[in-house]
Amino acid sequence: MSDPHRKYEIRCPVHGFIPIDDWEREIINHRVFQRLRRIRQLAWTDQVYPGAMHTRFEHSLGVMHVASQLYDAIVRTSQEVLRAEKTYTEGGFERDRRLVRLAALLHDIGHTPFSHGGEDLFPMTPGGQGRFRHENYSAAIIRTQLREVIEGHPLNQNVGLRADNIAALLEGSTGAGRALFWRELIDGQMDADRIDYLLRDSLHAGVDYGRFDWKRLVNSVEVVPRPDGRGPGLGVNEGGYHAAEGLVLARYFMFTQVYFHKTRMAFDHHLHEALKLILPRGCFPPPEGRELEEFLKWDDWRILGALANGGGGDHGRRLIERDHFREVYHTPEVPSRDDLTKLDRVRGALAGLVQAEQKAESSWYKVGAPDIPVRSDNPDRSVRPLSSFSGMLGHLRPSEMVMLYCRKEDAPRARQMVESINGGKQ
Amino acid sequence: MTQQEQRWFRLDLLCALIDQAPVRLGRTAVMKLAYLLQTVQGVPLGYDFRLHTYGPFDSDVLNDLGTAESLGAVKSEMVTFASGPGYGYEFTIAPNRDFIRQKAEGQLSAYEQAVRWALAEFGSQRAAELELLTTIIYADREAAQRKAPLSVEELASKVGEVKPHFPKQYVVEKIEELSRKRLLIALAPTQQA
Repeated sequence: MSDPHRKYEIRCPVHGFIPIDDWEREIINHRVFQRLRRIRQLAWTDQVYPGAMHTRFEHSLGVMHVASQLYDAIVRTSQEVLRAEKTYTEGGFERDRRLVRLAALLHDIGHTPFSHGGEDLFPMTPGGQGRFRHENYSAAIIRTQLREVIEGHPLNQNVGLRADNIAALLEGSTGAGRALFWRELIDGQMDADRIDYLLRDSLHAGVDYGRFDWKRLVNSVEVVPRPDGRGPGLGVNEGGYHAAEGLVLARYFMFTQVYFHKTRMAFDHHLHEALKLILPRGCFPPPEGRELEEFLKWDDWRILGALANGGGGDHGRRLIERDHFREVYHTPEVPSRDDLTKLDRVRGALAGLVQAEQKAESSWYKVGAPDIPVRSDNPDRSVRPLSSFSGMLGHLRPSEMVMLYCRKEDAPRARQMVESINGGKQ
Repeated sequence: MTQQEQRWFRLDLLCALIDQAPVRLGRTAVMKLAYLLQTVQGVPLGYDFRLHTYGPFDSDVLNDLGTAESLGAVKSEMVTFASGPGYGYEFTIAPNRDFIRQKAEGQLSAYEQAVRWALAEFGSQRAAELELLTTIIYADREAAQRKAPLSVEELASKVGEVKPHFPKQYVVEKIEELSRKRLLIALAPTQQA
């Protein structure tokens, strides 16, 4: 057995060295975590940005690193509030730091091949209310395959973490108890996931749109009061509001330039359709019992093998031959009612030529309404939304762009038809 | 209902809540009323609510409100509170509301009674109250899903861990209130008020 107190470091292209300990190393070395080496972070984005070949493996390490920095900064600036409002002690802080690190490390453990590209093919939940989400798979994997390596490490005797604690924090359930407060670091407006993926995707894609002063942001995060007796929440101090503004803008730019790029979205469509043919019964196995083990066998390599062997039908062929659908019409980013009426006309005119439609509002990376609380440096210490400090963000609206696609050979005719509607002007 | 139809239905329902509410609704109120409609009344909104310390939340509700505002169907205004340093948003209906109603093609009509119920029961509650009440219901539904009945004390204890700024007795009173309204399904049979 290795020395449980030994420390390790992993090289990261974004953060330099990421320190880990023996407990985390054992989890990272587990086969279900190693599977993340075979899941590309941005699916087929390399067809547009050839450098975007990075994986969920390095992103997960990065999220753990950033989450720790956010956690430490908040405890540093807001320790007294947390002690008073949530009865934290030194031991409590130490335990929840562990919890946050492991939840961050494992937040993507349930991803499908090619990350979000396959999420629409999760099966329906037993209640039929909707589809499972990758968080459900992550929680199930943590409670089963990873339980022993999480609960059985000698270092855990110091904090007594259960696999259920980590799963509950990721799922967003009452089982997380007071630690639910830290869910904002995994799934919130300024979470570690978002901070890392913007920086990392930007670096690998070779674009600068995702860069912002994240270290300043980390140093500005603090606990702020929520109004009207609603308890504490997370925000930034006024000194950090430009860094927070930078995060929101980075997200907006990355969405428009990378995540919702018209060609990338065409490849997402082909992948989705090819997966439907490759997967037994057209969807992934549910996150339950033996089926979960079957799910874990699916990774990019297996899908690429299936495609190389002629799987995936016409869409599989299009992926391999780069014969992707072409965008022939798109609305503005924030369409007015007139724009939507015109979209209906274009859709009707093109009729059978339209092969696919991609909507920004359905995209996993969509940019929502920004609302980060900022505490003023003025004597009243008032708390206001970031959008009231920033003139730019006050006008930012969620992207609702819709794009219509045709086959390559139909694209010239489709574009001519679009041009003939209202003289072709949007 | 297709994804597109559901989207317009959701926007129409959010507009209806804002339009018919007895008081101006804030973001939190709209979020929690949408949660109650989906969870308690079974309205097929398709949101995926997850628990945070501020109660059940899905950022898609805020995105939908942003869309309704972009289309000129609702208008939001930032407000401050006399009682503390925070802020909120209040919504009012705007001139293009009918555009969304037309796009939704009458799908809301089957759920108008549910909307009236939500507004009558919860439409005037403060945001802090709504956060607590919906957290209780969320914890109750979790227990029901696990088929693990809870006593009032156990449910209060679970909710208290997430929302420690509410006195325990107050949480118990709210559980009993919801139980009397038959809105909880996981309380052990002898515990039903």
